[in-house]
Amino acid sequence: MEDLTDSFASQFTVSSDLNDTAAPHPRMVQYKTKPTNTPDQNLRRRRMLEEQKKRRKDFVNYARKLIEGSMEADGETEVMEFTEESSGEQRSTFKKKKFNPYAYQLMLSEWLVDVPDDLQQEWLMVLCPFGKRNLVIASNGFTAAYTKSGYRVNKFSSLLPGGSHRTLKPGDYTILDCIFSEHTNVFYVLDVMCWRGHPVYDSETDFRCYWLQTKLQEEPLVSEASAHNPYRFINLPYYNCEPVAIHQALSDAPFEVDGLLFFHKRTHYTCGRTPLVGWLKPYLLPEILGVSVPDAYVRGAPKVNELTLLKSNEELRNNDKKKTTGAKGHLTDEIMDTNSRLQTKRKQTRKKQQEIGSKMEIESESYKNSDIIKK
Amino acid sequence: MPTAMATIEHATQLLDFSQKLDITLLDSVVSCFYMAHGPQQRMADQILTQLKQHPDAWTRVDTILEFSNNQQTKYFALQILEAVIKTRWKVLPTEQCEGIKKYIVGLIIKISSEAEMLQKEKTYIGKLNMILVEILKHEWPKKWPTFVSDIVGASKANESLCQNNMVILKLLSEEVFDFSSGQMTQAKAKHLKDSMCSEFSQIFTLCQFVMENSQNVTLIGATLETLLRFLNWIPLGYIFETQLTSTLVYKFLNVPMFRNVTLKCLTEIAGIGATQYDEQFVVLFSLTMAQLKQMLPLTINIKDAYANGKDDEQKFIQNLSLFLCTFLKEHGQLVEKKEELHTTLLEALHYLVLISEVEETEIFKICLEYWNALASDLYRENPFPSSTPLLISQQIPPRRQMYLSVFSKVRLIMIARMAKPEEVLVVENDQGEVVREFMKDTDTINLYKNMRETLVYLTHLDYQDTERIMTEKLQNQVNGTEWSWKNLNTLCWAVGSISGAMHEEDEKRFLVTVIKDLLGLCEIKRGKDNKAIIASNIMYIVGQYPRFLRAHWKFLKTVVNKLFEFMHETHDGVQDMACDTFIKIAQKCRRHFVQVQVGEVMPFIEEILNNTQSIVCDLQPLQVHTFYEAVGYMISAQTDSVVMERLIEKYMSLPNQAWDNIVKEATRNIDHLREIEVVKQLGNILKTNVRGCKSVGHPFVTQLGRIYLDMLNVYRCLSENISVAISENGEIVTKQPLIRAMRTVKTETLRLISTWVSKSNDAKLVCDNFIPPLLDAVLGDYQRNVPNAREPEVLSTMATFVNKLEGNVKEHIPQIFDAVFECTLEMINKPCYQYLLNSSSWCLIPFLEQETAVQSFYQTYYMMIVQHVLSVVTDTSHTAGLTMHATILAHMFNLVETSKVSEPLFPVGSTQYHSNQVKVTVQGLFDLDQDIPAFKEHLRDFMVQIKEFRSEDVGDLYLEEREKQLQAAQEEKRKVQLSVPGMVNPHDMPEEMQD
Repeated sequence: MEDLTDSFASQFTVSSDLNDTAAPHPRMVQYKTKPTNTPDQNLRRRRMLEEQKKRRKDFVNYARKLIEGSMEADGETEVMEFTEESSGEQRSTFKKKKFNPYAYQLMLSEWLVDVPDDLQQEWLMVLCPFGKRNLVIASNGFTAAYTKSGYRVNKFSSLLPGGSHRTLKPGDYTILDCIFSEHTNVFYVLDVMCWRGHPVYDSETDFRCYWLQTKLQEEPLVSEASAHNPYRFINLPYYNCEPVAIHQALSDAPFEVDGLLFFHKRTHYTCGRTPLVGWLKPYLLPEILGVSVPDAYVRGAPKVNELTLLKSNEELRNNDKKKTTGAKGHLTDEIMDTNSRLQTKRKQTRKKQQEIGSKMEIESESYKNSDIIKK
Repeated sequence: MPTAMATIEHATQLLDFSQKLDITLLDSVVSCFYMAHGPQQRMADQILTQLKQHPDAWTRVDTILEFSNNQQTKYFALQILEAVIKTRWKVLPTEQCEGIKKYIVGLIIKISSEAEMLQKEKTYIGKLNMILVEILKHEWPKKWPTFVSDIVGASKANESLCQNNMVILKLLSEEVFDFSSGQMTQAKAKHLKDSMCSEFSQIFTLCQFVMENSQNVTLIGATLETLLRFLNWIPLGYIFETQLTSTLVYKFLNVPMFRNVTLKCLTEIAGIGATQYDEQFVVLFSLTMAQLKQMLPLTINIKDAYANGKDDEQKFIQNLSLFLCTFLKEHGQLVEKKEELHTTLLEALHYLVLISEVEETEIFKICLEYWNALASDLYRENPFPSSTPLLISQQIPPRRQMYLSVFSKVRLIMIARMAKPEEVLVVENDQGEVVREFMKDTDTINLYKNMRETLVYLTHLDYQDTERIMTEKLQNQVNGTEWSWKNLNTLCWAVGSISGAMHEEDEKRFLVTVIKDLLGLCEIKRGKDNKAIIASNIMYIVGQYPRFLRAHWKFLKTVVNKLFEFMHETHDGVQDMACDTFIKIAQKCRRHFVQVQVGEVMPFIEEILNNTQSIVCDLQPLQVHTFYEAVGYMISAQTDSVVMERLIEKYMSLPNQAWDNIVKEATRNIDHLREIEVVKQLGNILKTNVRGCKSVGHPFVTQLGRIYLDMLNVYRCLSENISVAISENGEIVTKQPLIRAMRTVKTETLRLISTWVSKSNDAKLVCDNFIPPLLDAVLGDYQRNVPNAREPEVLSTMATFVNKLEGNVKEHIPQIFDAVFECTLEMINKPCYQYLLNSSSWCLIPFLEQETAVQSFYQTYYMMIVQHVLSVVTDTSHTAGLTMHATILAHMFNLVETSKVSEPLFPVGSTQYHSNQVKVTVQGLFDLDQDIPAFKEHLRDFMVQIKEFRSEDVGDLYLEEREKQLQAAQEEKRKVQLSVPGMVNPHDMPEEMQD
């Protein structure tokens, strides 16, 4: 029975995303975990940043397709699923899968598990209120909000560029990543992908943050409720990751804080889950980052978990060190890795694996898997 | 057709009955109707319809039949004739009737006397036969006492005439015995049946003569078909004390041409239950089986034979299944007792197993019914042992012994083709929102129920075998040999279907293996689609076993946490699955969430409430509502009212926060309530409240009280907005999103109130605190609104009050009537508001039953109500409400009779039927008004009569009765089921039987 409960809690997933924020924080779990074969977050972060340098994409075109709803299934958004049997009859079990052009457009975080050494220098932090994560698209004179899975939850007018007839000029459209608070009717703007037809997907966090702030300031009416702008749009400030700053931000938060997002300063805006954005609940801060938080946040913490946390934290930190050092030699190979050269890479890694040994073999095998999923 | 246009122009002269009929013209109009297109065709249609409806049209029939060269014209003439016979026979002069009768009989004899002609004019003679039968229904036996001897005598003339006479006798038998209900008055049907039985010997002799002597295959075919119709009513002596059965088996069963009809005849015979003929049944069985074995070797693969077979062969397989099932169900025990017949019995069962594999649902259902009956019979002989099964294996009762190997095969079949247990329909509701509806009564679900029941009995008979088969099939999923989505679903539905049938310990061991294997499968399969299917199957099984969940808290908690995780999963369908499973589990394990479990510091419900925002943040609004309803079930399990109140407050705090913001803003600026976003949000908040109220029940009063007055104010305000919008812009405005959203708020408000009232347990509290402000806001508004702005839900809400609160609501009744009924009844008069009728009828019944209304009420409304109900009863589109309407009428008449109303008024509308019919009807109405079912029968006879006049189909008058009977049978069955462990789906189990 104990076993059953454990495997139910740990191995049972549909998406198999690493450090999925829907599941408990890996260091908080109450079940025994199987030894993990995946590379730690730091390693994957480095790989992501390397890859990012090589990726060149036509984001003007991409954004236009998104607002027109003409994104196609073979775009870079959805993971291609390989099912052994996908005959018509089988598909009918779940309602016929239609490609939804608005699905999987948001950049999703992983739990912040492996704390980066350069957190204070290279990362920014955003306080998130409780609410629903929405993709907001303002174009053609109206504004629409979609859930992560692409379901349109609302359609309204807003004074965002392109979002109402008053703010509609040819080529003006806006794409934002927001948290919607239904109880206050506020869209808290987390990130910007496109402003007034100008895409910023391939800009780094620093810039997007600055851009968002400036642009919203230029349109002060957007942050006020009115007949043409029934929902307010308010940008969420970015903070640096020094313990004092984090503590201060939490103490002064103007809303109830759901959690904290940590953005790597160099990451572009990518769709889907990425280790370059980390997520923590306030009560996890003392344990994971060693940052003290106002008492009110710790009071909400599930009590039982603390012991598990303290104990396993120690072990994990030690493990991390081993893993990082072990992986260093491997990294040079990975830098050469690109999508187009996947075949070559497989051969190379296979050869390398024989040298490095079985531990690494498993590691790069699962890396390949995660790689396929990312594309 | 160059002359078509010219023809049409002249065609109107056909309607002039002073002129001689122009047959050529009629022929061309008819062919124009069948062949032309566009306006010409429409024109022809119009003329033919007018001609058909002309009261004298029938006088032209003989001319047409004699002189027309066009088959279609002749057919048209026969339609005219049929209509006259059906509706106006009684008003025609006797000599005219006689004339028509003779003419038709003559015509039939003429055509059917020649075999060639009979074949050629098949449709024509078919129609003539029908007309003759229609005449017979009026004339025989009273005015045509010699009909049977006439027809039998005439049959001896020649074979083709005899063949057609067989057809006529078949039609007559069908009309009298099979289709009489609703078509004839009850007295008449009985009279005809008696006549037919008493004269049957002549007919039987004729049939026997044909079967023994004729070499004419079509005649024999017709005779067998006719015999088949007779078998269900003729006196049994004809069947068992004659050579009939052996003739059928020896002479006809193995002849391919006759095997289907013969097998049907044998099935009819097999279905007769008469112990005095036991020996004959045994003989029938062994003779038939002996013949069958020659026709169909036992090694045959019937599944393939069916799949590749021709229509006739497929029918044979179906008929075979019917025969075997019918016989064994009725006489199986008789055969069991004969040692020497055991091999034959097993062979018959072997056929049935083979037929059960045929991929045709209708055939499967036939077999299923038998397996179900057999398994339940054997189970009932030795019911479930209440003590846990110990190591000592019990003696297997001898009857079970006989069926062991057959049942193992049947188990495999049930498991391998288990039907889908639930069906969800995605539909758009009145407000234009897409909602998911769980279907309750579809074909598949009924099939599932029957299969499940059968499998539960079979599991009781040998649970180890069921477990073995399921485990093996699961292994085949894991090792890939049987892996497919369909197979996996089927298997998991089967696993879920036997919940509760095993002893708890066995069940636990079995489930642990199953879930572990499935988890393993989920892990090894690649691709989100595959994983999602496996995940939903795991959750389905888990949700089917609440007993297991209740016994293992840690696992239950893990399951629920996993469901919360899945509520964030964006893969298609997973969120819905998670919410549906969550509500299932919440309902069945509710208590466990409000108790502090071992090793926990607080009840799990607290944790859920603390995290609600995070849990629901990726769900769509409908899914959020489901989540709220589920949590409400948990809260309802809290017995401490103080704790409960606090839970409810926390539970509703998010919607309340949003609600307060809107109300605050609206108080400052009433125009706030004209903004669509705000109105939509209100609708959404109210829906959350409705779902919460539905599951929390009466204690929801604290929440309802909190928002009640504001809610009524919002209601009034929005309703006025709608009314103004409609009167300014017309009805079209109701299609606008804003108006629709406002109506949603209104209906949800009413729904919230009636949901709570129907769950409340303190009538005085409701009456004192909730009713007065409500009547004020809702009723006044209803009266003032323009008709299009009135919500039918107001009526049903009022009905809920009166039903639930009974006497307590007395003092308010006059007010409700004043405000609601007059304006509603006026609306019903107009066809566009007919939809209101059912809701208003619904409301009337409880009001009338209250007996509190005063004389002045009757004076004002009596006539109006009776008139409306009567006009509605006679309106064909409302047969569904017959019981309701009969109840109201009976009550109304009762009032007059007992002199509760001083002014007796009875309206007989503008109808044209015979005045003595009306008199009898009215008399009956008064006589029977104490007895609703009899009253209804009477009303129905009256309506058959009206319809005979109007010539309409009356079949649906009995629909409701049939539904009632089914329902009663179902309730009876449920009682039995509750006594068998596992027989009732855990989710259909009454609350008190849990935990």
